[in-house]
Amino acid sequence: MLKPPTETIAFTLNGRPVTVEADPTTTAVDLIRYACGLTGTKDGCGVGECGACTVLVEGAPTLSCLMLAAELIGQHVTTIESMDDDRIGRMRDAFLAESALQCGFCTPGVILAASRIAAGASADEIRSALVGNVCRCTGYASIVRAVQRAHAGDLDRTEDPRPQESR
Amino acid sequence: MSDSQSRDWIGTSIPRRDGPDKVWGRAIYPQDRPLPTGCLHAATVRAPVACARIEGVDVTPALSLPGVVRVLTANDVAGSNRFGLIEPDQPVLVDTHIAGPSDVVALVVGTNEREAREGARRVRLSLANGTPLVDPERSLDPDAPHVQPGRKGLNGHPNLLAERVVARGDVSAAMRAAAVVVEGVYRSGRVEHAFLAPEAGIATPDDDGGLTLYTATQWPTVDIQQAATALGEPVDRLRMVQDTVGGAFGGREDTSLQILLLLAARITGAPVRMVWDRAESIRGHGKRHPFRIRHRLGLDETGQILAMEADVLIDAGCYASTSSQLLDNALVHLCGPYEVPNVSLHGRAVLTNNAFTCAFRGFGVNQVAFAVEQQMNKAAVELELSPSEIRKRNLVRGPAVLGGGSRLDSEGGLFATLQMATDAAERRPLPRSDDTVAYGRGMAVAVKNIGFGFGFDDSSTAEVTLDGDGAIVCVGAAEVGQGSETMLIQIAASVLGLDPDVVRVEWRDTRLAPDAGASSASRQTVASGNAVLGACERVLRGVNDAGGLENLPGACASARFTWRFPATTAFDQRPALHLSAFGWATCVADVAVDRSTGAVTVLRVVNAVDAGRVVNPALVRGQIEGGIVMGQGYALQERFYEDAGMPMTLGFESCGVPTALDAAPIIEALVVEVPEAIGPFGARGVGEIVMIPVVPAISAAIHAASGAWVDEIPALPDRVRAAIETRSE
Repeated sequence: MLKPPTETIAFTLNGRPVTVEADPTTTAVDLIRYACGLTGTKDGCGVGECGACTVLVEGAPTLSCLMLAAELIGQHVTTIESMDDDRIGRMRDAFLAESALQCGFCTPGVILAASRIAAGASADEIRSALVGNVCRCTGYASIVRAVQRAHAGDLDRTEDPRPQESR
Repeated sequence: MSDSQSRDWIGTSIPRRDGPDKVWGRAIYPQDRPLPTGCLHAATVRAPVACARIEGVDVTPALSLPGVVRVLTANDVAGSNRFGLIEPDQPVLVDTHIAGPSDVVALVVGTNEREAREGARRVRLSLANGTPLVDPERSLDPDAPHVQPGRKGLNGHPNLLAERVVARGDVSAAMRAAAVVVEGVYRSGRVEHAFLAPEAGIATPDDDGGLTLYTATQWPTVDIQQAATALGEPVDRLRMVQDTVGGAFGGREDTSLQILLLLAARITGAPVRMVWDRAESIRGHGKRHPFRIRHRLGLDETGQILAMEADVLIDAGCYASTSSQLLDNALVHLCGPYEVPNVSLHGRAVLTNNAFTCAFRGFGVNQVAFAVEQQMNKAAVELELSPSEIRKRNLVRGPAVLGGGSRLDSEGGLFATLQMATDAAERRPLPRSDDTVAYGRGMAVAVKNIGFGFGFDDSSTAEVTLDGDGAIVCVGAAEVGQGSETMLIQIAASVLGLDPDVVRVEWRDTRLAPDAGASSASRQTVASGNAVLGACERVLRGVNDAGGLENLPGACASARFTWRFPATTAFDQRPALHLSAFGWATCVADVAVDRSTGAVTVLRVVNAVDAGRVVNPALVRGQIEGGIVMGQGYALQERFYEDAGMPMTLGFESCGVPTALDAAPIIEALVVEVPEAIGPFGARGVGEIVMIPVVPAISAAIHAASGAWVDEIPALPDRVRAAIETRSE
């Protein structure tokens, strides 16, 4: 059997430089989940219909299941595991405060997409911004409240309760 | 219950225990579990058609791939090779006949996922294709092909899965005496659960000769029992560890990939992983049951119900699953929450080569509620009564017997939900209709059982250990997103007088957590809530008897308690005590109908639900809001298209799963708290009742707006437009 060709994929992941050798047909979601081991990014449909694989590429919500890993070369990628993105952090706190999650499988993608909604957005604008993120559990109402709550800025920031090494 | 010094956590929205892990992306779903060393990967060979006889399976082209380790077929299955929740009619790997689209003919095991999938593509099937039976109305024809060849069937019909009759009073005489008789035929389609996490798992051989399966399911104990029989494994050698469950809604009640993974791990002696993609998930698990209901409703001139007569045909698809019990449940709820003196009901569930059907939030009650409520709303129009007035004249008051059977002691907060929902609705006027858009408001009420009932020994067992640091509650209640883990922590903390932070629930591992029954039938709040409450009380008694925790060995107290639902009776037993607890709700919906396209937009939904005494208001609110939007999807946009039995809608968009823009912009989740007699602290489960009145309320609103009754759901624009045009002709 021929050894499949690999490509060197160097990019910045949650602020740290990473370099991975990968088959050029690998998708970005697989690279992030398996080669980089960050399984917070979910694969819910593989065809860009559910938004569970949403990551930030250069700050923009992006469906990582529709991207080849090679498209990440040289890019700044942010996932749900990011510890230093203030807008993601505020969104996490708001999702907890508003109980805006149930099964949680859509939650990482929803939080990343929601983190880039401009402060002061109306409920309709929030729902439009999240139209690509399917949630089967919540009915979206609590998610809209959480985004509004994050924008209100009245929550104390919480730290990740777990020690660094278990992340 | 809780001692006077303890803080009562019942009724407080403590944060979800699984929340931090979920918002940090740390929760481990089965597809996230790290691969064990030497892990192999499995891929299925699915039936390419819905009906065929297998003449040969050629695995050699797959085995010629260097990365393919084994190809498993029916010959490799040591046990019965059959599973099923009520009757074992579903093959693990098909031996002779393909009966439907979910069938798996072979399982390819490879060194990586890509090789396994490529191997699966190369397995060659020699099939003698049959003509699939797809029309349930033809299923009982004398010349209909047999969906499961060799099956004996019922009453001389090989495709008849279940048949039930309810007869009380004199329906013919009552209908003759009726001032108004409303007749209708109501249809509803298959629906996909569309939980967000596709099926996935890893099975590993253990050092002691057993097997451990890491996956996500609603009822681990019964998955293991079915696997043991199908594979010829002693049940005590199988262990299941629940990873985080990415939604369920009934779609994980039947086993999916569990038995295949255990088989592959047993035969290869290696860990085996399998992850289904979305299309395979949709093909691989069951669907909501399509119903055809002919319904006649007779009332006197004051709007009093005199009689109901109905004939129900359920397309169960290709396997039995729980369809016979679902038929029982549907018939009991077929007269809604109304007093009906004369009743004649007939129901059948039949096999076809379509996708098999299974539990799905509401378990047959959604379909019959759509029919009955539409009938009541039509009667109200005909009698010029308001929708709430006609209901007040007929709603059941306990102690009574539900129209379709089963005694009930109390109607709970039914009347209060009606009042609360209608009062809330009136606070906002509807916009004024114009030439292009018509606005309308509709309402519906609902009743839904809590617990399995029908004579099933329905129980949950909990084991609680208390020491100086806190308490561990072992109870195998699957946290599927509904919040059972948090709810059980609140109950334990309240009884034991502890802070919730020092209470932990172990629900994942069948070696540690006793059987709690399924996270189904809205039952965990009542069943496992009571089991935890009982175990905690025993712990406290032990501590008191010893004169303090410090006097017990190791300063530790432990107790186990099994709680059982009150005994119920099978469908045909008398007296009819089919079900022991119920939930109640009233929904009011406002819609806009585009007169030219028939497109319906939901503007606002008010849903008042009797939750009994609420344990966690935020969790209950989440159930109500989620149930409303799932109801909207069912009412208006969720469809499942099949061609010759094969599913054609294999994604979220084609299935019409609601997005944030489909959800009503105004959702009002209201709660009535009438304590449930058998609930812990008076709590009730609300997982299903929250969805049931939404569909008929939207349907009534479409009529109020457009003057057209749309008797088939989903009310897609072409159906609405056709109903409007038919009316104006």
